[in-house]
Amino acid sequence: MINTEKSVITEIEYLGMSGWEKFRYNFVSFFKRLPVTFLRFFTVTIPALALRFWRAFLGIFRKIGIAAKNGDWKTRLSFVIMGFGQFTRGQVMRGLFYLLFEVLFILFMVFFGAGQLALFGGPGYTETTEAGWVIGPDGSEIYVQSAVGDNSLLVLLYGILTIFFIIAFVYAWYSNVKAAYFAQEMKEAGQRLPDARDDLHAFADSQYHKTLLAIPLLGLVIFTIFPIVFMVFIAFTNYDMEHMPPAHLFSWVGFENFRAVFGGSLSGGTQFGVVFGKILLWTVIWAFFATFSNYLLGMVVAIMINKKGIKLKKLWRTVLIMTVAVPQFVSLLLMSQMLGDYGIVNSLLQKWGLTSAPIHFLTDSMGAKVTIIVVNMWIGIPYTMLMVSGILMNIPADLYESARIDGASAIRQYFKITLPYVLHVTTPYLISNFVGNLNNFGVIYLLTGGAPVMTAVGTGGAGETDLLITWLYKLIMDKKLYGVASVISILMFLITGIISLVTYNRSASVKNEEDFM
Amino acid sequence: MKKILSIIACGALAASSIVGFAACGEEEKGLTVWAPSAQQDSIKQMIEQFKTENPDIKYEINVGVCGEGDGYSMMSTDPQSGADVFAYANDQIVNLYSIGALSPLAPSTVTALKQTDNNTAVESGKLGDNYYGYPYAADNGFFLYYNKSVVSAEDAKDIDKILDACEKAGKQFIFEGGNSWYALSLAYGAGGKYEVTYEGTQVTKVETNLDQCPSGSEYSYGQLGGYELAHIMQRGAFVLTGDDTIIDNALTGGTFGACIRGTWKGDAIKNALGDNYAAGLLPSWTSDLDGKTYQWYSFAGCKLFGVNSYSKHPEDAHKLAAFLSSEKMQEKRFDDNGIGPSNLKVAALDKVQSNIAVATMMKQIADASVIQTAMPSSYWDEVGAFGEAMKSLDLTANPDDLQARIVQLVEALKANGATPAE
Amino acid sequence: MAKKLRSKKAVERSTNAVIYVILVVISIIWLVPFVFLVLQSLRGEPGATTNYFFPKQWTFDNYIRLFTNMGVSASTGEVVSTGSYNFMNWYGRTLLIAVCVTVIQTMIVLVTSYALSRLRFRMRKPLMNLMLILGMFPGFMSMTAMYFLLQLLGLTQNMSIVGLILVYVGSSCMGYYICKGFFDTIPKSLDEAARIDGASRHTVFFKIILPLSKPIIIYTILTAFMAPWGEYMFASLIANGNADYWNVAVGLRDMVQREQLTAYSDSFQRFCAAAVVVSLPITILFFLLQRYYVEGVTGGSVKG
Repeated sequence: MINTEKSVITEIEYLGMSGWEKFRYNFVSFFKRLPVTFLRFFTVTIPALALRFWRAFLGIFRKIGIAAKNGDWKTRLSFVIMGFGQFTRGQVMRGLFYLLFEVLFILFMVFFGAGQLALFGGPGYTETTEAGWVIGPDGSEIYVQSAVGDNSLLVLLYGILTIFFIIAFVYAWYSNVKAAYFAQEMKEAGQRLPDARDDLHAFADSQYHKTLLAIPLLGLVIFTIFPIVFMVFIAFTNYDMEHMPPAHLFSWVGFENFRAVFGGSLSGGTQFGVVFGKILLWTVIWAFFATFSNYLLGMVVAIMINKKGIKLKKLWRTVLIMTVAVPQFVSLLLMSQMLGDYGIVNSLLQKWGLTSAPIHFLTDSMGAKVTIIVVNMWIGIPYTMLMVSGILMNIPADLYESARIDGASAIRQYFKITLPYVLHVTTPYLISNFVGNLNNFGVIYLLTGGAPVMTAVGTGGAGETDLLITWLYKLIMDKKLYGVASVISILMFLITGIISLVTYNRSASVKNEEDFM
Repeated sequence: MKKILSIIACGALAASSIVGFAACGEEEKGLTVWAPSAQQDSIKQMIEQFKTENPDIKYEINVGVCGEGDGYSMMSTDPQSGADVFAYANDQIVNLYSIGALSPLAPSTVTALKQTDNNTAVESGKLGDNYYGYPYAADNGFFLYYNKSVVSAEDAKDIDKILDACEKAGKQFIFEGGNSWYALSLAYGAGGKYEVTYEGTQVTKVETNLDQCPSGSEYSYGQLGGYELAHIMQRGAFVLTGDDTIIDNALTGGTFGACIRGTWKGDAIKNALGDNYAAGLLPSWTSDLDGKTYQWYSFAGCKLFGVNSYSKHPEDAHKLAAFLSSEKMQEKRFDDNGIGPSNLKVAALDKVQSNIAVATMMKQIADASVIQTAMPSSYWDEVGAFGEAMKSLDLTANPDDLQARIVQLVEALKANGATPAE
Repeated sequence: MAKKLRSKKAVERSTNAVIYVILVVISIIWLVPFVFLVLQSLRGEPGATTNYFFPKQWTFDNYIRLFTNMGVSASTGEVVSTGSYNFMNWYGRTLLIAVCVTVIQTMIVLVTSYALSRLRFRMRKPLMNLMLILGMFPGFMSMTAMYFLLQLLGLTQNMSIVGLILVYVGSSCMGYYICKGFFDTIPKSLDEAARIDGASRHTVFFKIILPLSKPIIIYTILTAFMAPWGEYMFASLIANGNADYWNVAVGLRDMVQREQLTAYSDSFQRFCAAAVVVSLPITILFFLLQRYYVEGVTGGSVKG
């Protein structure tokens, strides 16, 4: 029903629209498409990906099979001694690299990896013993140190590390076999094999992406993907306050944590579903207001600063930008202190006789929500202002020229030219900002810490101004509910991840990447 | 062949043991101590003293920063890299024990501590059959500070008179009423009880009578305490804040009437008020519901030095913890930081008894307090939510509504003991 | 006609006047916290907060004490040494971290963005999508994993500078979006002309793209340089309570712990002084490089 014929328009129609219509169209169709896209993600995208992986997988085996069948003894020996094929065919450098990697891998497995993998499953752990005092034969007290056993956290961590290594090795081994067979075929066809210098040259040209991306991607794998995989594994364990290794080891619990999240039965009688729903609602409301308030007001400020005839442009901009220079935790700490019930703002207001009782800027549920959004404007408007300033300078002057000739007033020009143009070009920024605000940890954590707490029974210390992300922080730091928190993280990741994928891949900057300019 | 091997082995063993001994004599023993940031100077001087008193062992002792309430959060990620000796508040004992961060005291040490220190403090380090801390402070509670020029000593015994006096003089009564640490203090004063039983680190049972009525009253403990709390918080002179700097501002601005706080605020109030400085036990209160008068109770908590069971030098760590909590050091800690000692001799010293804040705290703990045991975290959540709700309680509403909230609270508190039956 | 023009001018002038008023009001609102910070750092009277705006005694002592590792004791009110609370040490460590992070992160971002913008290879699109969404996994969930990983490599506590740099730059390729957008706007015909002349892709990157990318390089440098100053969570975890291994943010946070903020201490004033010292270089950088920052962010993030 949602994706009816009417909402699908042709490229020509789209290009024929005015800026306003384009913006409205993009905006509306984005939200209309969200549910469909979510559905498509699970029914189409994932199966398609799976199929692709399966085909690639089969292809790998076919290639290995061919290499095993048709390969000569040099190629076949490469199956065991990596790099042998290259080595004996004159590609010494390549061969050496493969061999070195194999040796390193074997050493790693022998001295580290194998032991970690053996423990990976869980049973067979040595438990840590408790320290204590025993009475010696002469009646003296002897301290018995605790014998630290296995640490399920480290076993899991190192085990995943080992699996990562194994995957890398399998890939290297496959590419080694493939390359060995390829070299054999080249030789048989009487062609010259690329030597070390050719390889080096390729890495500066045709294979340049490998050179450039090697280190960035290594960092990505170690510092982002690896911890995420680790946390996904944690979602299937009972890692919580009562299972903190090495004193108390955690173990696999299957889908127990997922059941706890969806079934709403956390320990301590927390009404999980209700709290989750309430926080989710506020998270969305917050993201909406935080994004649009910053955006619209930032644009207004930018337009004012950039208006012809306004002097000291650089000064105004710098004043606003000073907020960026002070570390956020400092400025927000000051803010929260100034806005306290008995802080300086309230004392001054009372001193000047404007109010008689303190205004609850941060201690009342509604007041705190408004304050947070307003303070967030203080932080966010400068960024929008800077960006919009840049765009305003880029608006073709002839648009205004012709409008002026038509006798359009400044306000009319603003609504007819400036606003549509800016809205149109910043739609991706706007939506990515929205997604960013869904996960905006800093402002809430530093300003209110989620306070005031919810007054209902069974809310587990969740606050009225808590976002999903700050609530998650509480679940981990205060309650050590690592398992459950991992499940919620995965859910949040899926939601925000899919939204952003849809946004970015639909945005014109990605679609028209090739033909830009 | 075998013989040769064994000779070589023996030689190697002998050589290594000689080397080992030599190394032992020279070896530096590295220890780390965590203490709150305000006590850093003091603790460093104590450590120097410890080193001079143990000249035969070379110690390399580092001091890290960790508040008494932060021990668990600092330790929990990696207890094996945590401090060897650290200060903690007794309500964290179960959590710290569950991550293996606590090493038990020798039975003889415990016997000795019971002779020298406040027994409540010693017992607060007990879990199961073992004791896990060297007490050094028995001052974790709250009581009344007041300005004698506003509140008379007689008025200070009754909360309504205090508030009346403050209102009349246009002064403030500062109290963090809704906070989970304070929210049930009135109910406990009326006779409310909360008891939690652990088996190891598992909560097995939670007992509370907050939803029951004291004899001769038709209102429950929770109802009486909650209603009175709301009543106090809605008075004109009342200032609700947990921010100590607000008290400082009230003192410098001359608007300080009275406040409810712990010993840590004593010096500031004393210096600002001078001769008008006074402190007293928490006042009694008369419930508007049943017209009866009840006492107001504080929590009583202690602070202890714990020894990490993962310490590489546990004997030395125990020795250091014992030293840091010894009589002499408790006296020094009182001199340097005004911390109320758990040691009986130090507590009896004139200078301690003449420190109004510390002396009042000790009297409050002895006369009108409930021991703050290791509550499960849901206790703080639930009581915090209850306290927040009391801020905006409609005092004219039907008291049955409040009772319904109390019943919910009690159910939630008891639910914690019921779940781990999986 | 002349009259009409004059009235138009009058309208223009009055509009501008209104705008000036609004801008002044906005500037005041934006400056209040900053001015408050500076004023507090110059406040002579003790105590954590005041309920008046302007200090009654002006002094530079807070700055002097900050740099000489002195402070007014929270319990006695005497000026004492703050011992291992060494602001210069924290500042130096953070500056070193920030400089290293800036250099490495800028290189990584530029290189990644160039590869994604100009080079065509299998897995490019999936890689871009992956990098885009990975950052949405809540970061502190992975702190434990990262901590033990660094411990395995021996990069905690006394080696924490290296550890922190690694963690901060580790995932910086995910910030490719704006930079890639900027590269996309550089006409492809430039590369193609050079390629025809026989330049390798490597040469194109260094000789053609980079010289045209000053705004985005400066934008990347500015954003990379600012981030480490405010990072608190991981820096505090990795230091394990040892104040020698803190960074500015952890040290500053400790200065405003409740027990530090007594009626005598100057902890809050020193905190403000420290914050001013931290934000000064960034403010100056921003003032000088504002133009490039605007060009960079506009060129990179804005396209139809």
